[in-house]
Amino acid sequence: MDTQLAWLCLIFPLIGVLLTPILARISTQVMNFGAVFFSFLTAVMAVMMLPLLFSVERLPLESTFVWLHTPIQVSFGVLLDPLSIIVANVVAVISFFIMVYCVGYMKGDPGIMRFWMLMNAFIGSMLLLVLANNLIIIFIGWKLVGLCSYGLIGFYYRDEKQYWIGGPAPYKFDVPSACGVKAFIVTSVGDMLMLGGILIIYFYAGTFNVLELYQTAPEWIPTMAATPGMIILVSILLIAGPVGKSAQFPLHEWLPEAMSGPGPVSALIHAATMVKSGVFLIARFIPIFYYGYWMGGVEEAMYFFIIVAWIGAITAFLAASQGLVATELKKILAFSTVSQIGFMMLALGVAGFAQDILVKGYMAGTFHLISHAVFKACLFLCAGTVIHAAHSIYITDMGAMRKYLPYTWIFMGLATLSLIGVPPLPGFWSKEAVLMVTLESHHYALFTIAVVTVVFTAFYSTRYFAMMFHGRASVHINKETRKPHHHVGEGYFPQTFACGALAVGIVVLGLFGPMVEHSLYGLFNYKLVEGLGLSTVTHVPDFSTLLVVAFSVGGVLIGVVPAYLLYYSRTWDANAIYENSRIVRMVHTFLWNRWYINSFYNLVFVSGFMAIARAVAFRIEVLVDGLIQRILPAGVYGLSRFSVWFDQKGIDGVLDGTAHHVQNSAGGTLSRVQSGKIQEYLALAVIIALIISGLVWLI
Amino acid sequence: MSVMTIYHLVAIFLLCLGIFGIAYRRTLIGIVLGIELILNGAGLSIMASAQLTPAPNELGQVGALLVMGIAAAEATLLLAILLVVSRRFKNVEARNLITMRG
Amino acid sequence: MMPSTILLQIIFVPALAALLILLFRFQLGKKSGWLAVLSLVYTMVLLLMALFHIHGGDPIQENYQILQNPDISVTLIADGLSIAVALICNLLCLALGTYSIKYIYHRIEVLYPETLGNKGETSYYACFFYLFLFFPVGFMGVSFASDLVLMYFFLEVLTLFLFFLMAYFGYYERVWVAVMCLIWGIFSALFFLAAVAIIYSQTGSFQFDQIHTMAGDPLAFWVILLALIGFIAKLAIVPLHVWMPWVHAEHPTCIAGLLAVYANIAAYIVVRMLILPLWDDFQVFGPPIMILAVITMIYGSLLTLAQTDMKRIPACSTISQSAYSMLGIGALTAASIEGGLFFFLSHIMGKTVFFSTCGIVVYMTHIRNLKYLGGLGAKMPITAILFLCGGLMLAGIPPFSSFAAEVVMFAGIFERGDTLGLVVGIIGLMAILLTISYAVHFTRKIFFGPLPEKLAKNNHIKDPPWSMLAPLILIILVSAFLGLYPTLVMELFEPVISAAVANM
Repeated sequence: MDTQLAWLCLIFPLIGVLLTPILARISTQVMNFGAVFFSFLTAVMAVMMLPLLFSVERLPLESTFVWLHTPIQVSFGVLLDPLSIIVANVVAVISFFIMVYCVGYMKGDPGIMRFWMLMNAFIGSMLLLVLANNLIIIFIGWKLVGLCSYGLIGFYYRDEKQYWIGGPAPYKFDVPSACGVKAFIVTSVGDMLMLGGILIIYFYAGTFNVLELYQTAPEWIPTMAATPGMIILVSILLIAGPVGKSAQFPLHEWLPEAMSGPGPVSALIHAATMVKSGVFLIARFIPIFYYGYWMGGVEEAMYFFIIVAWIGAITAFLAASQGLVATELKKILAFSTVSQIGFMMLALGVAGFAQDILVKGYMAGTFHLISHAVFKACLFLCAGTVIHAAHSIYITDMGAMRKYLPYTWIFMGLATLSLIGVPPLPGFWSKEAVLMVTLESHHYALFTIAVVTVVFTAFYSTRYFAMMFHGRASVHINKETRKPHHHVGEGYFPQTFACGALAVGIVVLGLFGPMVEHSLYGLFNYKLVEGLGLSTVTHVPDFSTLLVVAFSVGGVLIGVVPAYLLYYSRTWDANAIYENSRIVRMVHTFLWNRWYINSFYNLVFVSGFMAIARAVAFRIEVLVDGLIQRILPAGVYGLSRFSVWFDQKGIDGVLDGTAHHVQNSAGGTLSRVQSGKIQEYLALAVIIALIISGLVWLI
Repeated sequence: MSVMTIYHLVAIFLLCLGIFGIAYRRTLIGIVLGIELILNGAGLSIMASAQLTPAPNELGQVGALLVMGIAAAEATLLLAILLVVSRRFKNVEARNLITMRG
Repeated sequence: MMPSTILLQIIFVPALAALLILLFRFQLGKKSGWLAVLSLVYTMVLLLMALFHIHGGDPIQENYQILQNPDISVTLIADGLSIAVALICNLLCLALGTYSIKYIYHRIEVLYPETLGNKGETSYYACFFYLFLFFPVGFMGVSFASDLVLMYFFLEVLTLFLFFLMAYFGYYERVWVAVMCLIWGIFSALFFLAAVAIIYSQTGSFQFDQIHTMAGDPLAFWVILLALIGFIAKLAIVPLHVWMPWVHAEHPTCIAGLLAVYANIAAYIVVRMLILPLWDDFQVFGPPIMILAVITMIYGSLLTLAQTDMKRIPACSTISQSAYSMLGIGALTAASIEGGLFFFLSHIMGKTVFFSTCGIVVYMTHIRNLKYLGGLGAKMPITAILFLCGGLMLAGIPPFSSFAAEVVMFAGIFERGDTLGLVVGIIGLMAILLTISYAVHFTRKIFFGPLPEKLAKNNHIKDPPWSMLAPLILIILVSAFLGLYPTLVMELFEPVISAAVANM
């Protein structure tokens, strides 16, 4: 029964995709209801798997069908273990609420049928990724998720001006279709490298099945380690996939541009699901590399954790710094997502640094995944409502909107506080767990970066919140509210309902935070230590919890207070600071241009490749084509002309000359014998007759 | 030198005269006369051979008559051809009738 | 249940239909297209029957004695590999035949406007179909041939009829391009013939199952080299690829998919003729083929990215896609060869869809230059989706069959275990990235974004009639089916390839 729940989780969204066009023929209402209904069923199926967590000894469960048995073995099945059940629930439940939100947000959109189909397909693919039991099926889910997100990000494919993001003028704008392409290509870079890693592992391990990989690790990891550098190579290849999908450095540039999709799409893809898939996959890989280093004695396996942890830390810092100065609301939230995922990666990375923090790190990463999914989804949905109300994507065009959007103010406020990490909200608990485990790993550099990021997070969160809901109303808002039928107000009921439900989720999760943390710890402890036999050492904390709390709260305060003064109460003047200090201006420009990474990539990869492509097409190809197709035949024609010349002059000449001579010279001479004179003929005849008779007489 | 030899010498003399005439006479009539001479020489030779040898005499006589008859017929033919040729070419000199040169 | 002359029928029924069309062209008129399609449906049914038979276990073999003395007989063999190839080729011929029914009007309108409305038009219309029907004949013949002479014969049939089709119905400079195509086809066929001659001199027979008796012979090296040169020209692998952009771009779009098959079927021939019989002698050729293939993959994709002509885009992309199959085949492990051949099948399906949708755009807008196109998704949504699907089928995105093919193929490449396999495999995967890039890039350029003035005003631009869309949708569904259920194809290949490789 239990694994069937998982299969149903996959089948319901698929049915939803197939039925949507049929339901659309009946009426739009029915179609809306149908699409949401299927996501509801999926969520129910996922929730029904939760009780399994309480009888954790029965996990993992598996059910498979054979997909390919020759020449490689791939099976198609579901795997239920604590990680997949938890993430599946996060995905399914949050997706359901987002679908409810969409009923209101996408009302009246002409392409709504395509939207529902893509959303359901996306949910199905994401669940496929989470619940699959082998790497190839995970990869299929991975690619399908990428495909659906391409469709959803580029949803407004006609590139109408109202959907452009970027800017404001004079800065460049980005059109939705280009953003979709960018997302797809950048994530594909990671995907392809990951596929290489998966296939190399298959060569050594002979299996794609996740459980089998864990269990047979003692056999194949040493073989792989025999080739120097192979494990590092495979680590890099495997990490590339999550780096791409979760928008970590250096493949992080697609996420800010992905904001061109409809609001709920950003919520779904960039908060709750797709970007979490990278974290999920890293969590899946951890037991393998942990085994390799700590129990297999393979030195190189540590690189996996080092790379993950450092990428996480760098990305967290990088993105948070970019969020400090951004003016597009959704871009700030995008940077925030990238940064928070960096935290999760950091936690998962440090989990392998020491034997006593494996479970803690694993738990911290997963817990932050859960809490971030909930509050970020809420943030994006509320942002969608606000953007729609304010008719602008820039926070500089908003201001003092609290009185128009009271409910959204509450929901967004709760979510923002969670993001900042204010107790007792879940963001605090999860962030504290991450910081704790980083400190415990004794990598103080990572810890410092993490704390600085906390400061940045607090700053930019307060900044955007204050600029949106407090302070003075901007010129734009004043203009909008003066219009006769302005809709600077709450959205439709489904929207408010969805945001509210998520906000309630935030609060509940926060209140039960420590309990959740503890039970997660127990779950993963069972899974990793007892289930998989990974040896750990009992954890004795070197640092007191209070120290970490102090750092965390301290960081929050350092971030919140200046932002409060700058943007909320307007005691300090942001513009004045900017104008007066050259350093501030320089830093601002640097951060505004996203550390020039985006422009660098555009130059080197986009323009570079197009230039190479043009060089190939218009220089090399023309050259080779000309050589083979023009010069060679020209050579052949030249040869044939020589042959013709020879034929005419040489051969024909000889023949004609001979004939001429035979005709004229010899013939001329011989023809003079015939003179026409009778007497000569007669005389000749007589003489010859005499001669012949003489001869006859003699002989 | 027997009598027959003298007769034969005369016949050869006539033959040579005739050949000379065929080769050298300017007009066609001259060529015809030469042909007659040849024929007569041949007739003389036959007569002489028949009379002065143990062969029957009548053979020679008949032979001579035959030759004369043939000569007459041939002369007729030649004169007819001459007539046609002279009308055709308006000319009776042999050296002018050279349309069949090669 | 299965007729005993099934293979013969599969090969010759289309030829018969062609004859009927030729003889009765004025009576049939516009229906000659449907007659062609009907004959291909019939062969399709026969092929499916054969598939079930072969899937059950035993290959089909038919022997026809032509002369007693000297002993000349024709044997046709269908095993798992050939039936898969034949089935997909026939499917594509069927789909393209249906697609062409409407498309050819457009070509005749453009090329021979003076014949419109009178007998000349019917004549040209029928001409296309009786030339077209020899393509399935050729493909089926190549798939089922059991000896080299027969295979050569059918290859030449393909080249010849391609020449005529191109000369009559092509685009710019069609006669020059047709002649070029013919010369290249003959060039590769001559090298093939040279190899055949050497094989005959050494083994005394033209049969495929006798080729292995010359394994180990030093001449085997020359056989493989000569044949490979011919096939490199045929597959359009750098540096002998220069004919492909011209021919593939300037030929009538309705046979585009068939041209891709024509080029790629050489991959099938390489496996049948060279790799399976002469395994050990082939080992030395593996690495050079892999390197050439990977260079071609990158070169072809870059070439495609730079194109601005609607029809040259898929043309140049064929260059890189053929190289994928060769990469798999060159890696010389059972999985990579099977993956490579499966990719060949997926590529021809994807290329048919991709090219045919380009053809639809050209057919509707009469514009070939990308500069003037854009935003067509608003007017032709179904075409846009089909184009995107075609691009994804080429790029190896699940759920299409090219993904399964890619996975199997690269698993096989890494299975080699040596550094070359590793390096080439990773570079190959990155080259696939280039394919993905141009697939989405061109979808965006053509179908997304704002609609230019001129196109917005044109009321003739809309989704094409169902006879043009339905076959493409069919192909996409087949590809998705094979992608979700790749065991079907792999089980067909297994007795032929894996079993043979395992014995080496």
